[in-house]
Amino acid sequence: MRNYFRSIKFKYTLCVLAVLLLGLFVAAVSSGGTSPFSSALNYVLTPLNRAAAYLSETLSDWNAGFRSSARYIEEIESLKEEVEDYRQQLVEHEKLQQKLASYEDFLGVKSEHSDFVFEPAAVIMRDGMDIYASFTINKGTQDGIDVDMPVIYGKNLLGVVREVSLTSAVVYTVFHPDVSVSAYEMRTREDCYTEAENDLSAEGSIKLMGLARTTPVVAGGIVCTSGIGGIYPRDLIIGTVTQVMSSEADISAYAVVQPTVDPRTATDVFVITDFEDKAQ
Amino acid sequence: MRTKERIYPVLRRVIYILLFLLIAVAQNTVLGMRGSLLLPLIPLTVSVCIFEHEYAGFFFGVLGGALYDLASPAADGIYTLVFAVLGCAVGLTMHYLFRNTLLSAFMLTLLFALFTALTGFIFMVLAKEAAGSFAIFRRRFLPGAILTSLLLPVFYYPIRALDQKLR
Repeated sequence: MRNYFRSIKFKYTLCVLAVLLLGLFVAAVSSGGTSPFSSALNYVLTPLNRAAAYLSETLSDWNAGFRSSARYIEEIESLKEEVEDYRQQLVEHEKLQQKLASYEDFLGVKSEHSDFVFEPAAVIMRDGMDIYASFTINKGTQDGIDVDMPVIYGKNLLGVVREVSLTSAVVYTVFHPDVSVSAYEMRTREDCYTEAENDLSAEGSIKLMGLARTTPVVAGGIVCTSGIGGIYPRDLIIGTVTQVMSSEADISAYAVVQPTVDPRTATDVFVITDFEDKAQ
Repeated sequence: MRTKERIYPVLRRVIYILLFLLIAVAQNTVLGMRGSLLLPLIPLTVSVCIFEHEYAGFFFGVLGGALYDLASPAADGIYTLVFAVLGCAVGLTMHYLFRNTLLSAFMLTLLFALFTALTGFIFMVLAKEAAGSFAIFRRRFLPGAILTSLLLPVFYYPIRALDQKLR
């Protein structure tokens, strides 16, 4: 082993390690948050990932049933096929209905907010280990995507773009501790903000902070973005209040909010690239 | 004979690279989209590093880590660095210290997966928020590392066969 550490190969290895460290440093300080190596690899792999994501979605709808080899198999075979056909049609119908609902919502947002400029995108990658449900979309700087652009599904806020390369972008969802959104509760109009906490994120919920101790907010209330700060436009739905609790740290109260759309299941999203009150 | 000696190592490594691409796409899309805790790039990287030893192992580590980095929201390039160092370490260990058996390969895979899980945990969770994070390590990262290690035979035996055929 000593020979290896004295060899020229080991010196080459150290040089490559130094380059990798430099890449890490470049990624940390660059505005897009990605290293040049990563961007190049992303560029090559994006079409492949898109194809695989599509295949994965298609395969998840495939109903591979185990056929019994019992005595009456031939008699029931045609009936099974018929049921299989109907089931397949039902899956297609459900998918179309979901898509239609998303587009109807989108159309609603578009007609309500004519100032919004959208870029449709597909979710192509996820890290299964990530408890914050961050995901990668197939649009990048070449499509006009930039960091701090909000990502929605219908009228619902999913998260915000935090890293961007030429052909893809990483979206941090509302479950991420780096994402805090200024908000208000629709019925009471009480101003507040969202905050993510590990335990709640793992369960698919977030905290709504800054409520008064005597807050009139109750379970079932709808929480929307307030537009303060200029990153998220006003009136995007964040989620529904599931419980209201008193804070142990100070005299305020907080609420637990469940996002209306689970970012873990989103496959087609829209990025809001521009809107009227956007911070420049 | 000489042609075989020249072509076989190249062919073998080209097959490894294609395998890396295929498994990375499967991990980042098919498995990742379903929230699976399995990271098949780890047993693949370990298996390749075991047979390729430290120098080539280092570069296959770079490749495996870079492919994992694409889907991970942890600091960009961190897995490339970790996989490169661990790949080299696996190659060195198998070259000079251990006998190449499934058991020793499994131990190395488990260590590799635990170290990767620890890196992910530190950079993705602990660096963001400490409260409640150890429970998440116990519930998510640890089972993920153990399950990932169990995938080793799926890669170890085919790569051993490929190595014997094309060496």
